[in-house]
Amino acid sequence: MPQRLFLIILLFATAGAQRTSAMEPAPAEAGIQVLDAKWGFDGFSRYKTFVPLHIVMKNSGPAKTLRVQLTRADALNDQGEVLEQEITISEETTRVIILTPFVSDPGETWTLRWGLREEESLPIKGQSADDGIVFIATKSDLIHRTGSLPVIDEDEFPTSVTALDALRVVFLDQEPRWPGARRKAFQEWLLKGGKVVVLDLPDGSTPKFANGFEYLNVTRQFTPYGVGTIQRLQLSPQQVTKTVIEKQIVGRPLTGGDTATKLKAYEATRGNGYWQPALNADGTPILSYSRDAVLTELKELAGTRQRWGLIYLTVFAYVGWQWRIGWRWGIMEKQPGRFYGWLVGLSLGFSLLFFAFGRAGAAGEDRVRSTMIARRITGGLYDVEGWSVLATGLSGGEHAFAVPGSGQLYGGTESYGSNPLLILDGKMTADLSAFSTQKVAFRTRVEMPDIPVSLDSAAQEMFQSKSAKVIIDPSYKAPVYAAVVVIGKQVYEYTGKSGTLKPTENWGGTMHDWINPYNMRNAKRMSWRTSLLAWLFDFRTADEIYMDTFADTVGNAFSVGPTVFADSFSLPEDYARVMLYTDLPRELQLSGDFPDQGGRMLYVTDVPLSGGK
Amino acid sequence: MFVPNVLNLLTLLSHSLRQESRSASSHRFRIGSLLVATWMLLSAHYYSWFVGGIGREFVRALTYLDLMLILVAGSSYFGSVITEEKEQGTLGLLKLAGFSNAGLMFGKSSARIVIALLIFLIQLPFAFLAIVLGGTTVTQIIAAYLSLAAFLILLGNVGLFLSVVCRRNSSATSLTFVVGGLVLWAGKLAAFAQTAGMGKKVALVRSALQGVNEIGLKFSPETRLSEAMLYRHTPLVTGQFWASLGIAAALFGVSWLLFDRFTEYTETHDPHRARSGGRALRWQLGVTRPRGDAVAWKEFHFSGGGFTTLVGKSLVYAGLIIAAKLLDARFKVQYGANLTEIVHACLFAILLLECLAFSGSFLGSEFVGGTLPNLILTPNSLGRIMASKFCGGLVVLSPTLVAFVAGSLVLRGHDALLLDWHPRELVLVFGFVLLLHLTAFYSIRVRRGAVAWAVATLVLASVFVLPLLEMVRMSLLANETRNPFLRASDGPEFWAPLLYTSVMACLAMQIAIGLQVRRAVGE
Repeated sequence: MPQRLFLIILLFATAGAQRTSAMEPAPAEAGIQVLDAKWGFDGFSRYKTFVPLHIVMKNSGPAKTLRVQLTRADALNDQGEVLEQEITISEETTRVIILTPFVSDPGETWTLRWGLREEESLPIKGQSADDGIVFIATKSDLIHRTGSLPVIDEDEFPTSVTALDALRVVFLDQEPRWPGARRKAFQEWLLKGGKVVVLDLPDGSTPKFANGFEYLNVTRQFTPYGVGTIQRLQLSPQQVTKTVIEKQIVGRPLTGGDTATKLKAYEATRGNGYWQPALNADGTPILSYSRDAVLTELKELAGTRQRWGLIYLTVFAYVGWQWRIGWRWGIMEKQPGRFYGWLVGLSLGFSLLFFAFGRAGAAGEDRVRSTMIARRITGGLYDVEGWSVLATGLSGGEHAFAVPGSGQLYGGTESYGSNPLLILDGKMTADLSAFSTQKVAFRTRVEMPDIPVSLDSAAQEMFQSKSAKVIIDPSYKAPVYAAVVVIGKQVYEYTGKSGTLKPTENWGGTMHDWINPYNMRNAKRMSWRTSLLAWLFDFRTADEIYMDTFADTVGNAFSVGPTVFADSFSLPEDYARVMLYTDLPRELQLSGDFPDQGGRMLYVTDVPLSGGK
Repeated sequence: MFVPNVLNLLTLLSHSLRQESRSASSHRFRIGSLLVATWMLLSAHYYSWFVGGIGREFVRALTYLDLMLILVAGSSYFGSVITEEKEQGTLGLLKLAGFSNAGLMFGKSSARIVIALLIFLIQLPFAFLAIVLGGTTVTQIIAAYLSLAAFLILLGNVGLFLSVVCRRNSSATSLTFVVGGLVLWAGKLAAFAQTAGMGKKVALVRSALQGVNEIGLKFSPETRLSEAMLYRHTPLVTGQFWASLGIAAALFGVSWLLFDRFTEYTETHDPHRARSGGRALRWQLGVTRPRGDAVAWKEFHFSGGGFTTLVGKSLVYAGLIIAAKLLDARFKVQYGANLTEIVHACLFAILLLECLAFSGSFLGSEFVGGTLPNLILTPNSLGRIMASKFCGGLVVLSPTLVAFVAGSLVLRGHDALLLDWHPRELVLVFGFVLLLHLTAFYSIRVRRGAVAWAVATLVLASVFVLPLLEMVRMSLLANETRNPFLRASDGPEFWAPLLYTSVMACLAMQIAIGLQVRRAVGE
């Protein structure tokens, strides 16, 4: 009898489930299919930057308007950031959607959703490489002419320079048919340090460029353009092999398809703890920089200052009461109701007390603290990369956050414990509880006045003899907290608030020599031993904390991956890269629900050595 | 009529609450939970330096710990509410004292539920501190604790029902644990079952599993806690809360209806008695005469099963390894996994479990069986007795050990997970050795749950000790003139403090075991 009863219950319970599933149409019937999802330009993602994700969607049903969402789940399966875009797909058509999230770790899983049902979602994973090599072709040429080169359709090229971090080398053999925005993005990327390789046409002749691409008509093998390079290679796309790329274009082994290189890097990093930098095979540290370190310092500046001493005193009083007095009272008290009543009362009382402490400690406006890198593209035009920590006081709720300029990109950088973020229409909304903080990254393209900076001597020898000076025109009023000049692979550090900056002891070493002590110090501070002390006795002023982010910000200014290749820190011989750490200008004021703002900007400009200015 | 009935209901409740308020173990449990919460608060505060919204993770960790505590400790606490009276033969006396069925059940089970609820209630101030750490709201915290309370009340009544129905503590508590586990994870288990075999192929089974999955996830307190922590505007109570309370009330009602049926003749049951073989059976098992070492002989033949088990296990393991090797290629094509590696991992797990069981029964079986004083009275030193028992146990463990080594040899050069060993895993090795010592210690201190006590002690100790060891390691590295992070974490600065701490802890445990043996014998 019980068995029969069980069977009836089981059939009753499952019948509903069966009916429900029968009513739901299969994914194919719903009309939307995702045909392809490709990271970056060559199919590979990158660490800690904005990487475009190309999604190819096909609609085999009637025309639809969809809300496409790309979400990232963190280690706890929480919903972190959501990138949203509303699209319309006509009947029986295929459409490419490009979303550009901030990728902290390419191994993380993102989920693409185009409806509420589980069938209307797709998990997307990525794989990292630091090559960023691509051939730009028209749709009809995607397969036929490109040989083994990774290829993208010219219509999928981003419309802003801010989305081009994952791109290092572009191969071209004809003029792309681009409207103004794409053409401008491409040119700005090249001026900022990109590399374009011009190949032969199929008949062996040299391609001719017009319509704003005239600068690509070069005859020499290497032609500088800004700090970027145009290289002429007399080969057709089919003749460009991996060996050609490694020997003639990048001068090092590619990481993408090279399992041995990746394995070597993996083996070198095995056995290291969380905060330890990765090692080369010979045991020397791979040059690295850390956005996390910058953000951790900013969090110190933005977060609320609670009265932790008082809170812990109260905690110990509560535990102590329960320990020493609670038990004895329990034994002596004849009426258990009274004892338990007190227990509950005390618990509720202390809960209210702690809540009150929190409110008292967090009084003040919602604030944001930022560090930004403004890379000069041309006069008055900057590519700005920034990190901010948003902090709420007493006011929990949805907080808007937006940066000025065009081509804005936003992303959350918390890999664990992120608050819900919605990125839509060029701004970000963070759903923050009271007393919370949220780390975010952003990119934008901004017009702002140049800082009048010059070098008093263009000659490289003057730098070697420590007599070269950095001069800032007195018309620039904001203080300069620190400065660095990079020539070739050498780094020269300066100090001084304004006017003529003076050299410091850190003079003339390689970028490796210069950045490594900072990396070591940061790594040490992050370690248990020192950070525990720092946590208890951190008496640094805001200026000192900002200064602690300087080296990492300089490392970030080169816009390279966490595994920094030797070529990343070398500039063309006739250029010096001047970097000034200064206050945020008015043009970079953030908008949204965070009235209390503060931060620093690393101003990066490339000065031709021959001109001296 | 109404007032006496209510008084009848409350009398036993009041008595039980008074007893609990004076109980040292309840007090220790409350303090223990507060100390764990304090430590977690310190850790969360420290991690708030790096991580945003750590308050939410703090509450999540605290409530998840509570959830596991309710399941593990609650199963034995609630599952024994009536069976302990049955086993002690006092149920009849309580009935004779004039308690009604409802009064008896209400008084006993509700007191336990109230006491358990109080343990979580006194943690509430810590949960409110999570708001200060950021990432969570008052509503989320209250919603999480209401969900926990509902699960606790449900498990309390599941325990009551099973305690009424079952005759023995062990059956009632085990079944309570299983039902509690199903409440938490039935949805996930059904989802997993849908991915393979009949659950994937047969439509009826698939939809049945789908139904279980949906219902399970909807009413699971684990899912509810995740939801409560995820959404700032979470409702205070959901279906899980009301369903738990409703089912709890229904179970109480059913227990009331069935109470007399299942409690009438419970005290006539025979106690559990170990079986002893006759002369013929002795030959059948291949039991030899005890020659030089009677203790080892007894350990091998009676605790370990003797030659029959030895040969049987050896044959099974050999068959498993051969079958895995033969079916490996086919299995890999079908499921994409290495069957030999799976068998190897299973052998490793069995070996660990056998070691744990051995350390639990090493002295525990003598302690529970009351033969420990006789053993100590034999003309051997304590060290000799221990060594003999260890030798006997080692022979028992040998088939699994040999099979594991054989599996390792078969997998040599295949990049198997267990063979990809790293010095960092020394933490686990030393931890396990310490766990064996702790289990042996607790086996002669408590009559039940030695392994659970040992695990709890080890977890708590590692929460405090591991960060200290890491600090020692970093201090040793800080004296290096080169970049300390150039050094991998498997150098002497890593294993030396670990080895020292583990050896000292094991030595201390051995002394403690010796002292505890004398104390247990004295008792």
